[in-house]
Amino acid sequence: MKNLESLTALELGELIRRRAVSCEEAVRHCLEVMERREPRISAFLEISREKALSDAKEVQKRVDADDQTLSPLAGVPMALSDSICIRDLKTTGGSRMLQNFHPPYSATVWERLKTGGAVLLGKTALDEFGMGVSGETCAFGPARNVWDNRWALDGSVAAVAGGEAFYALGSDGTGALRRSAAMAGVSSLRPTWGTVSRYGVVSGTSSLEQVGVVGRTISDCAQVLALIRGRDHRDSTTSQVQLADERSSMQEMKIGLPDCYFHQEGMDPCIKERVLSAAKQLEGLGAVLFPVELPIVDLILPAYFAIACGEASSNLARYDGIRYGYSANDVENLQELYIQSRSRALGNQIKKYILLGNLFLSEKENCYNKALQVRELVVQGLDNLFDRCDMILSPVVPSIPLPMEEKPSQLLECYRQSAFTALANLAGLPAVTVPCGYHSEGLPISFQLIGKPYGEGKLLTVADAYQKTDGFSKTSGEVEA
Amino acid sequence: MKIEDELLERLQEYSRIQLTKQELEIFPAEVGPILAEMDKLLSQKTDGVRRMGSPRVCFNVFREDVVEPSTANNAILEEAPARQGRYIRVPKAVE
Amino acid sequence: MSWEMVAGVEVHVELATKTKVFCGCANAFGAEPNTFICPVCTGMPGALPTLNRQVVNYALRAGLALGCDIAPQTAFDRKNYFYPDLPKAYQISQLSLPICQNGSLEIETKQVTKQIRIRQIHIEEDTGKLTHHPTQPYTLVDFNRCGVPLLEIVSQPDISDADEAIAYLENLREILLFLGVSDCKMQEGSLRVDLNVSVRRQGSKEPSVPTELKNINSFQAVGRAMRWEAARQIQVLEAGGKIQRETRRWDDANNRGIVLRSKEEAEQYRYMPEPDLPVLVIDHGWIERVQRELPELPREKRIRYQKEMGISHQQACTLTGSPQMAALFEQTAALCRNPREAAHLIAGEVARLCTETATRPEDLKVDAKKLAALADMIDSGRINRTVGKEVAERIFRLNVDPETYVAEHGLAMVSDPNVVEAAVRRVLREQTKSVADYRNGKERAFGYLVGQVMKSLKGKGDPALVHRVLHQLLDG
Repeated sequence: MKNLESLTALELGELIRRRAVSCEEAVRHCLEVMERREPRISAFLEISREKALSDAKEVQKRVDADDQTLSPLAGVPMALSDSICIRDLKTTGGSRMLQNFHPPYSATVWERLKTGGAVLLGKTALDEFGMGVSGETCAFGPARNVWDNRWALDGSVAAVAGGEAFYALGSDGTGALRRSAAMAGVSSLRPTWGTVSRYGVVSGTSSLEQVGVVGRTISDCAQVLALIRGRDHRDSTTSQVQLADERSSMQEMKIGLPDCYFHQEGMDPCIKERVLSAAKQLEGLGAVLFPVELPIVDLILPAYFAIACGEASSNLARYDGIRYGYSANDVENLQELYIQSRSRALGNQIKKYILLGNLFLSEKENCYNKALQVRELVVQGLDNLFDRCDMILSPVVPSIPLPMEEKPSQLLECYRQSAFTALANLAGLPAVTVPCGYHSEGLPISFQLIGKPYGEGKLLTVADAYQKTDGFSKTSGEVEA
Repeated sequence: MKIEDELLERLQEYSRIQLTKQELEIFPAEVGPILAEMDKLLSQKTDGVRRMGSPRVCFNVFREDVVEPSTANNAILEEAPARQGRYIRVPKAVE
Repeated sequence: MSWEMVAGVEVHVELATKTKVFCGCANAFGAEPNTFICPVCTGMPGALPTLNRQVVNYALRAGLALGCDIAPQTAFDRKNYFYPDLPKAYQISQLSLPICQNGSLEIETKQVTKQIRIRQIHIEEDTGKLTHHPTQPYTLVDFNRCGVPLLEIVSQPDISDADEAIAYLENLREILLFLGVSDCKMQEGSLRVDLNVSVRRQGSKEPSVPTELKNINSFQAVGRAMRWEAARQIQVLEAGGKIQRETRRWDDANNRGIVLRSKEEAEQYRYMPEPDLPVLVIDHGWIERVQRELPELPREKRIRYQKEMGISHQQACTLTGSPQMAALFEQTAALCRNPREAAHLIAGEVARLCTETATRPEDLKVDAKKLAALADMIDSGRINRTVGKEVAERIFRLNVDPETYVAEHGLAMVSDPNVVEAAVRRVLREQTKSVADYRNGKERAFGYLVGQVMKSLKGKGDPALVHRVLHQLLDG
């Protein structure tokens, strides 16, 4: 078998298109890697071995027939977070509440990929309902980091970092996708809110949630985005999709460095040094960097968190044991059905988000409404900011989170670790994470670029320019088996 | 903001969730730091500022009044934990 | 120390759109349970609402017809609570920015003519239907109705007695029917009424705390419930007590309201803006379009019928009994020579036949062309009114062609004076007692004699001619 390990998704797609590699070969390669690595990293909750092989054969037929509806990534084996519904396939959202749920509908993002010839390897682990630090709260056991499996990861990221899938889709409702990608040395892309359909995506949040892409390179991510974005009649919030900026030149690209982010308490010096070093490299490539101030920066994090909890308490109320999902069958009345079904099947952490959410939505302590107003102030302030610069550069996380076994308060950990990812969630901005080095403790480090609404094009320009000149872009080839 | 027992009782009721005794014990202390942050949030002046329910406001997105056949109806019923014929069954609420 | 009532009415109206408000499932009545359902209206994971444009159009129609201000921007909110008929555990409704506000509706009772102000109209989704087992401890849930579009129309507390409430409801129902936005059938649940009733001492500005009354299933029950509740409150207050804020379920069979919950215990709804739906911007162009396309309202029709066509008030009311009846009348009147004749036929015969055959307004299928032809035949004296009634019934039941029917059955009016005279003479010879009665002053005997003459002419006599000849021969 050819060594496909070091290829990017685009490269593999091209080989498949030229028939230098068959779809079946690609799938078998991935399945073999999965056999080796899954015992250590448990990225997948469900592996669709037979289906992947039969889908590969179907796509091959289309390749052979020179089907013009195939995408540049046709036949490239990929993974989907288990937050993304596929008709008749088990979709759990990372929760015991949905452990036997088979949706009679597919998410729009999957339908679009499938039309283009995507081949699914399986569904990956994720934080329960997408709310957590980086995958720790998956009810069926978290995925692990291939670099050091004491650390949990979002499963889509783990699958790509572990060389098992060439790209994956995941949920970025509370930034877990980006944080995971940063710690695993892979690239991630979170699109502008409202660019990618949320129909069929199981999530605790609505206004903070976007389906993101994980890939070996930013270019891979960009290609996937092109396949899944666009107006969906089933999601009214995707209506005003504008074309992302055309990619431009690095020359005179204005990049802001938020002072407060780099100087905040608890900022790991190693991460800071690596990110600033990457910034210097970008300067060397022609960008102009200068310090900027973020609007109402102290309230971005609390506002995002209040909204996350508030929306979760509402979005997750439908899990009541009545129409689908786990249902307590030893109860005597309706209220007990609600309480037992939810208390037994919802995880420890998600319950706390829900309780806090109801607190924040209650009249007396209505932080939720306040948070929505702060959002308006932040969005207005960002308009001014993005007049002065094209994007912001920041670390992804303030510090390496504690390993799984040292059970911190997940809630507080999620809050603190969202320090730099919260802005994109709150203001619906596009963001990319790009590997830029390693921590002294061995885990990878990434920097983050956050752009203005629909500013993906410029983000990709900068990230791509960086990746073409650095040595960090393809990671799994260097990772020991 | 602090969470007293009574408030925690009410929150559990709104959430239809019952925490275990251990969970109840640690919850107030665990969320303490976060609530302190929320106090910061609450102290921000926002008179006249609109509430943005989403990061971008979309306007006038409509679906036309044309029937889409309910092809998933039986599959939806298959997912129901308790049924009686085509009805979904739930235990009675206590009056 | 006299008391007066201060009451408001909340009406929920199911809109007659083809699809539900937030998904494309059919908005239909009477199907097998859980047939018109989809992931959206059953609250499945990752399902999202999409707004039906026609619902907004209908809301605008209602708002404009009721003289409301239309909000330039309107949005949706979530009302969060747990109940088995509410699959998402929140109802999408409108709290902060309802689509219409500040309208009014004129009502007329025997005592008074006044305006009842409408505080607001907003759009929301209906819930599913629960059927509680009478003896076993379970409930059956059907989501066919879940997601059906509702307009909630809330009045100000301007209503002072049950008659006013009923007049308000009758007017409101009539308008909504004629707008074509709902079939307003209380018995089918497409029109639901909740009341807010309080009392105060005459002259005082402060009404008591209002009690909400639900489960009112007919306009007459409205009256009974209001009177009972007012009496209850007066009794409490006169004994020195205070009225608690409560919601009561009206038990019409036993004529009493039963406490459902006190407002202090009311579930906190934790309202929040709906992040999954867009904001609506309603510009002048849209409003003008709806305004232009507003159908003529029943009150305007009645005025027009009376003024322009010389129809009586009574007949005008019957003719505007339903939009279908009014349409039939207008079509017939347009085709015949004398609209008053059309009015007679429709308000008289067709209306009566509808009642007799229990024909629902939406099932009314009478050919206006045929009715018009019949009206002309009566108007021109080719047949008399009695025959006209018979032919009208045949058109209604069997859709006969009037010309053909009259010809086949030889029903043309008999206007030959010789034939009539001969018939009159025959009857006068036979009916000696009646003739004697008449000559002795019994006016009624004349009518009897007319009847006998008509009988002998097989009902086809020209009534005017018969009267004249009979008078001539009796009095002359």
